[in-house]
Amino acid sequence: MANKRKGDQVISEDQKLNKKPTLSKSELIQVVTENVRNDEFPDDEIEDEDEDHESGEGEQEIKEDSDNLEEDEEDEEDEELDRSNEKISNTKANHKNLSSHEVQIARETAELFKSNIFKLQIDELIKEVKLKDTKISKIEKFLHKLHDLVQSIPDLKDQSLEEVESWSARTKFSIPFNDPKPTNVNYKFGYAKPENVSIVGSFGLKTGIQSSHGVSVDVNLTMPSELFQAKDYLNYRALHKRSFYLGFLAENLKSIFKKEKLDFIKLSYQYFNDDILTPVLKLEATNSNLESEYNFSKTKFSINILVGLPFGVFDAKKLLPNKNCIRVQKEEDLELPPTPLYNASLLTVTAYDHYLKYLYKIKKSAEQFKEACILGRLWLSQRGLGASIEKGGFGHFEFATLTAALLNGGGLQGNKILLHGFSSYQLFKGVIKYLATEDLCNEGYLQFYSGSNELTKYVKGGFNTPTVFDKTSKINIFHKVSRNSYKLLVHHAKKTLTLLNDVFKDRFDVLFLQNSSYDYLKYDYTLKFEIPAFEDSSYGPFERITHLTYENYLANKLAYLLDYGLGDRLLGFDICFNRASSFDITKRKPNSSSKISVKIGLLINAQESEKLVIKGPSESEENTEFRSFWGPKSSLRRFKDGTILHSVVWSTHHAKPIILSIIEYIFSRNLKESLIVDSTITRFNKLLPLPNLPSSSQQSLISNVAFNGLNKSYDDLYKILIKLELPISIKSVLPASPALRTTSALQPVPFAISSKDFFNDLILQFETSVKWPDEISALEKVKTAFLLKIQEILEKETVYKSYITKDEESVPYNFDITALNVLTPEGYGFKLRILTERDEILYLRAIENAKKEKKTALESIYLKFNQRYLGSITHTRHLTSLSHHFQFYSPTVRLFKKWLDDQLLLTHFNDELIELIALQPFLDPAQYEVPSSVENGFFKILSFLATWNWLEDPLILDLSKNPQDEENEIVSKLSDRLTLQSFQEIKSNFNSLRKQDPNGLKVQFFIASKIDQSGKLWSNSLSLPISARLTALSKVAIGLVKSQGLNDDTINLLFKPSLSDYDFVINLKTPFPLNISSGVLPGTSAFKNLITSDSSYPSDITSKFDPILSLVKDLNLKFDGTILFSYHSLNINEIGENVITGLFIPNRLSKSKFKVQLGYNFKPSKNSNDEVLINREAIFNEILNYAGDLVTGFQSK
Amino acid sequence: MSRTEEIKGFQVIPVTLSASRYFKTEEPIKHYMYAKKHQSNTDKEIAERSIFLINPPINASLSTIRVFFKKISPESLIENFLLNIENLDYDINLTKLTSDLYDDEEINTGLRLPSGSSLVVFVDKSAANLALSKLKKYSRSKDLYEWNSKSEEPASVRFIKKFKSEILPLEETSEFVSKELQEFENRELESKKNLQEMKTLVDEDGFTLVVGKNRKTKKGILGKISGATDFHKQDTDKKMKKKEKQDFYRFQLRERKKLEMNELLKKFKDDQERIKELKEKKRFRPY
Repeated sequence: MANKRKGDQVISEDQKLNKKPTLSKSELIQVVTENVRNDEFPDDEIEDEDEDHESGEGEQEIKEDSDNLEEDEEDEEDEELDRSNEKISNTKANHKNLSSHEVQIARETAELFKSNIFKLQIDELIKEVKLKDTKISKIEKFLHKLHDLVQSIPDLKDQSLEEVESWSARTKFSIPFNDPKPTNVNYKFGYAKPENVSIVGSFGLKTGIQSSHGVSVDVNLTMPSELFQAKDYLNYRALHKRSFYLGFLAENLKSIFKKEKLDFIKLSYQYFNDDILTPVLKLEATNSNLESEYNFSKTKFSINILVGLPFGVFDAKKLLPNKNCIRVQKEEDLELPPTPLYNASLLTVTAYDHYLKYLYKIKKSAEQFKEACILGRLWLSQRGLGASIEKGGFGHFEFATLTAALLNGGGLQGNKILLHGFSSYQLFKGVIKYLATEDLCNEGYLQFYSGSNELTKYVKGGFNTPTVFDKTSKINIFHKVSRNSYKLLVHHAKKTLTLLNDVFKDRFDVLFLQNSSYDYLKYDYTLKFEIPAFEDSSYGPFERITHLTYENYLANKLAYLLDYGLGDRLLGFDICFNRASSFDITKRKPNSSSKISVKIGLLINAQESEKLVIKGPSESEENTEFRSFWGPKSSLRRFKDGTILHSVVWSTHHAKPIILSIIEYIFSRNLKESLIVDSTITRFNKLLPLPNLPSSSQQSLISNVAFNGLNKSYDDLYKILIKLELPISIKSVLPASPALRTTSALQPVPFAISSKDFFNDLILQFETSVKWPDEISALEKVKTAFLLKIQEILEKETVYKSYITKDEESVPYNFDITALNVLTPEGYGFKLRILTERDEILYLRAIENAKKEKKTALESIYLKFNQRYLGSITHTRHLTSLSHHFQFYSPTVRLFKKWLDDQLLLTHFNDELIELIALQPFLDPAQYEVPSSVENGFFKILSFLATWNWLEDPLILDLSKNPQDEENEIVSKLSDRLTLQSFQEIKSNFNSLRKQDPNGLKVQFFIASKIDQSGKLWSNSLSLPISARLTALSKVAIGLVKSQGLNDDTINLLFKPSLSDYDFVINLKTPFPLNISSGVLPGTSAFKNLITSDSSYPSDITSKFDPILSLVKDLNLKFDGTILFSYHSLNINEIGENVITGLFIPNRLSKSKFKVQLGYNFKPSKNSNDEVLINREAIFNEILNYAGDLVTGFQSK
Repeated sequence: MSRTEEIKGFQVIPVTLSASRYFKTEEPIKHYMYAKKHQSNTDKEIAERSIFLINPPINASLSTIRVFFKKISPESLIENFLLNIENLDYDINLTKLTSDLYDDEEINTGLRLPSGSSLVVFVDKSAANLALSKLKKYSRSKDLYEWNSKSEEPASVRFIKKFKSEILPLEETSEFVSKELQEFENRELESKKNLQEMKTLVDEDGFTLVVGKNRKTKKGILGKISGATDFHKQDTDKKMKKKEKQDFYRFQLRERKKLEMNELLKKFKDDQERIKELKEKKRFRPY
């Protein structure tokens, strides 16, 4: 808060105000009171005025506001003086009457939080995740008991290593010594009563929250300092002593538990936060002996007994991150490398209690610190971030400490980033903003004092490792955060900051409530491979002491390889090992397997990912690193601009991204020869049908070659049409088809006339004229006359073939529409329709003139017209530019369409509707990145559909290209972003739509953008069962992937229709397969090079059309309102097989009174005079006979 | 078991369908049609010699119906067979709705059959009556007619042919279009002429009707069409408001402030309500 004021100052100003003719706060309240007084609120005693002013920031905000008012109104002061004074006296009188308290809260939340609703949501959330009191008291009971029991453990001092080992052999308890195990040591081990037993961590701080995987309570036992010597910080000595202490404690606790009938407790060792240097003892309650009053198994709590060292037992300066504390044999002139991880671990062990005290002090001084920590904790866990190395090393403790440090400075001069009076939201946002905007790795670092009030400062000049350094304890609290995890953390912070700044939508859900840690949503794709644990010769003693484990070393090495090898192609990556961290108390360490499985999650930079060349240094520059990194792959190349550079060239492949090729190359060169890297991405890419074009398998997934061919053909046709000599000249020929906006399910291929997207709609417009007939059917006939004329000229003067068809489907009830079908010499098809400036007026006039009860029907006719003639043009224009911008949009939407077709849904939706839905993750990635792989895009679409509650939420798309970088864009007037005003208008459109249609019977999917504020242009004709099925199928798909993971089986299952859901299924087969004439390269054929694509049109173009399309059309006409038919409309089956499934509309299955207008096939019902029943058998028989020789099988329920 | 012979005055006419090899049943599958004498006030002449037939089989056509009646009532000759399976609303006629050049009568001619029903038109009244009585007799008989549901040519060929039939023959289309347009122009001309006459008429109050040169009909002038629907919500009154000064008087400010605060409070209350709702839906469970 910029202007903090002292309470008394405020009061004096308020008094001043009383004399001034301005609106004071009390007046404001009074004004409101007048209205509210009579309402339901009881007389709410408000606090004394003075108290109000002292109580907090909110009031100051209000004050500030009235001050502003004061300035505004100074001019009018005099004239209004009298009246105002009068008013004020009134105010005083009425003051107590009212709910001023509520006004204050309302005011306060608006200022201190993002919005009211945001604050209320935070309140509720914090209530929800709070640990239940009953559970707390249960666990506390046990903790007290534990405390007493620990005190009863006898001391055991001055044990030599031999004695310790024989003790271990006798009791069968292992001491979790670190590698290398102590041998031949001359120091003594021992156990003495802990100096201090305390609850630390979030439970101690009371910032713990409910969590799905249980809550752990950290109990710290501080070893007495008498057990240590000054030199013990070296060579694991202190840690070995600690290990013995832990082992001895475990053994004693085990026997005490038995004695005390607490044997429901299960003991195990665990590496605390994956740090192998600090094993801790984990206590869990099992289900046996549930009667015991101490059994806490139902609380899902577990207890970690940390063993700490006394704070300051070693000279912290010797354990600075740049010091070496593990001495190994070395050759004379080599300097030992620093051991930052060892040093930090050792210091951390001494500082458990210290940090608890530090954070506790902060908590006392900053009222909302606790809530901010809870928010932070939740935010981290929803993103899969945590304190363990596997999870990135930035967890609740780090978040809390950073918040605490920033409360005491944080700027270059120590200026405060956070203030103690901040609300939880402001604190949280402040920390997120700091993470998002300040570089703590390369450019600088943060230093703070946990032991004194000295200011926290940002210091320029970083250590190339993320650093938040505590000058008191000499710990870098970010020591577990690797450079790449830090990059991801900053990434998350940036995303979150944008969401927090979003003024359009309520982002609470994606910020705190959604679990965003699923790999298939978080990463564009993941790689998995296994690597032997002991074969790496580069992992020597020095590497061992710096990195401590091979996993850490490998992570570091992989990070270098990915950084150097892929550079800009990646936005970030995450390396996981699935480290074993838990082991039995009879073991010294977890079983080590001979193979390490590695998982790498990649975030791809779409702009760079498929570039062919990696450019290195120029010929004259230093190039040894580049050359040795790339080996034989690197070569000297001359580029267009004349420069000669060392470079590496890659080749594209339809299924394998270049990034994957690079990774395979550098991994097998630097890690292990012929290493097999497994990734689902190639499987997903292969799902896309390949166009039957030369060398299409060598085209990159994001290549638009096939679409460019079509576009070229369109341009040529355009040039011819625009020059035609007609009574009135053509103004424009606008594209309006999926293939012309790169979104058709199958890529356009010449002469692929069986493809449902072969004919591309073009809308032709003439120069303005007043002569168009003022009646719809006559108007259509004039259009036909024009088309006939164009046809005649084309036929006479060009090589284009063309013919006219009637078109009774585009706009229902308009039976006079015709279209000109043009076949270009290059092998592409176009369908021309004419739009005049009269059409829309006429359709709107029809609505106006229609009887009331017919208006809706006419409105949907108008919508159909709008779709075909107006909407599809603007849609195509916007989508073309968006799909250029989002490189992975086109393949993603194609895969989504294929999925819909495989699930028999594609024909029920407009292409445009599908494309808009598929845009959602690209335009509003929220907490994620814009998809940069087909796999990721596809799952984000499904996951969106699975969670979209379309009854309550509209989908509002901002069709601008850079929805994310807002600040510059919003200011700029040229911005194509959706304005807040139109956003609100769309929302109110949605609300009024839902008011009329609360159950979504007419419109389910409300999808609006600036080009369609009605939100129902494309979804108006959809039926409820179809929309519900899309949602249900998406839920099933996401559920499947969540529970079974991604593998060949699940991927196959995703794309397999569940035919048993339908009432009946007809198997069909076309006389000959249509896949090749649809332009699809067969995948299974062994003789790929023998397949020749057509290079001319057949004499009868209709001979290669899909007969099943025609059959379904007839069936739909005949059984409209009775049966819902579905079929596969992409002819990609290689033997021409297909199915038609039918679903009876439920209300048609019940008995009905005989009526002339029933309109479906019915039979008289038995025993009842005028009731009739649907005649299912006759219907099946009719359909099968009608479909004749196309049928190959039939099943019904 | 007694068979239903009549429902609400309709004769129930069962026929058996030829079996498909993919859908076998123990008994032959029966299909039921429902027949009645046609009644209509508009087309008395046709009504007299027609039978109204509900639910004809899917491939019913003039030829299949002829074959059927040949068996039932060989003497009744059929002139025409009209069938509606299109499920269209007869009240929606875009021509009528977009132009007033056509009168109601002209548009409303023609038969109006409910979807899924048909009309069998016989050559004369007696033929129709005979057929109906024979149908009655048939519906009592046990020997059921087997409807021929197999078509002459394979379905795959039939469906491809349908595509072909959608291609319009050039010359005929051209002729048809020019004929239709000619007719439309004539109508327009006539209407314009009428309008010009009105222009010269002076009414009781001494006014004449003003006719712009692009006006074509009278109704077009009188009933102005706004053409606004809810897709085009226009902010027309915005401009008006802009001109008023909103902060001139103190009371305006006070009012505004008051409104703002009330708004704020109301929003706050609404938000609280919303949260309550959400809470009930258990939304605040992050896991």
